[in-house]
Amino acid sequence: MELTDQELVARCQRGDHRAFRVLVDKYQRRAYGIAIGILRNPDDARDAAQEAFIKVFRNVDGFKGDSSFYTWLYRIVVNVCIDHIRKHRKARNVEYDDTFRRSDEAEVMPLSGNTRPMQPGVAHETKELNGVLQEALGRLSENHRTIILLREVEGLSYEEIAEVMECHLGTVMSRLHHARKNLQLALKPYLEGAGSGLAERAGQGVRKERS
Amino acid sequence: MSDEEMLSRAERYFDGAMSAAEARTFEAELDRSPELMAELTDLQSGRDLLRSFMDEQVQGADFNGFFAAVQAQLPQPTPVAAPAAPVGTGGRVRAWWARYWTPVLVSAAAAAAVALLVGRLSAPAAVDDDDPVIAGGAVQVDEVTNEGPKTVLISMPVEDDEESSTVIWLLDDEDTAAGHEPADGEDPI
Repeated sequence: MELTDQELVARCQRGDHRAFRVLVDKYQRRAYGIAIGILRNPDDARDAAQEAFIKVFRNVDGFKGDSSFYTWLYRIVVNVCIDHIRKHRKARNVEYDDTFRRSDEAEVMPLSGNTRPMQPGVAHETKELNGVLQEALGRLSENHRTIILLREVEGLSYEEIAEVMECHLGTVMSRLHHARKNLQLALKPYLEGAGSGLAERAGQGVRKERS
Repeated sequence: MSDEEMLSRAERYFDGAMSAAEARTFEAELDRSPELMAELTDLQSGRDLLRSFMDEQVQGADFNGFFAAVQAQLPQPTPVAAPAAPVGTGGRVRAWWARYWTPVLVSAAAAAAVALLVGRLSAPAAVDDDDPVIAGGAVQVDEVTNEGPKTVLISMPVEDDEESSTVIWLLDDEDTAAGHEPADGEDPI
């Protein structure tokens, strides 16, 4: 019988390493996915995800179950990643730059260089598009990057994102709006090449979600 | 409606944050507004691209040894508790015996072994070619090991010749019953 997260957490609170392993196996990919989205480096992301799980185990007694386990885990992952960025920023003595501007500032930064329109059906699979996405994500602030990953990739609700990022609902909506706008701007050349077929599919998909 | 407002409404619809009534109104507008539809399309395309990109990033990762690295940093589980106290009168008697009398018996066995050897050394004896020659009469109890109630090993090397050491085994009932008899050259007590 598969145990729920709540049951697994209760076992971890009694020091059960096997239960903890089940949780790690279940969530390691998602934790890593958030971390690599924020940090954009596989090694750093792996370290951050592992550190987050260590913190989970050490602080599991403090988890009261008021929120779901994964929102708690995501909060820890996000905090570890932000700490990591700050430490590295200090270590490299890098000056405050556009990448880390105040979270609610609008950031309109068109991509530089080699972007050119292409058919998304083809480009979707290409390394070039991955490079563009990588660059576009890199140009978002850490808060915008985090919020767009939590919403678009992890599918968290506004309320869950507010819990993870420890901010108000209004802040979530505002940050998400800016993050999307900036990402769309960066991807505009590609999205414009989408054509009406993709537009129709997207529209139908949205309507289906609602019904 | 400004572009900003349009995107904002499209987002709320896209994220399922509208009430049912709001959503119906929006959908009616959607049929008449290609701009609104374009906003939705962009949102959907952006999400699809991002998901696909992130999926690839995660799929390319190697999770071998992931948990092991985490586990290495965890506090180790509490050591296994000492065996529970024996249950029943028989068990309690055996435990009491093992606890208080086994060390006494072991000490006595060791003293007896030393006395025996000292006696053999001081008394003139017929020389047996097979017996080891003990030079100088010095005897050393090399090691007394108490392995619970089971076995006591006393080793007495003679002139650093390990092959001529005397080994004395103290066997409990279990060992005897299991047929663990001493080998030749070993003295059972």
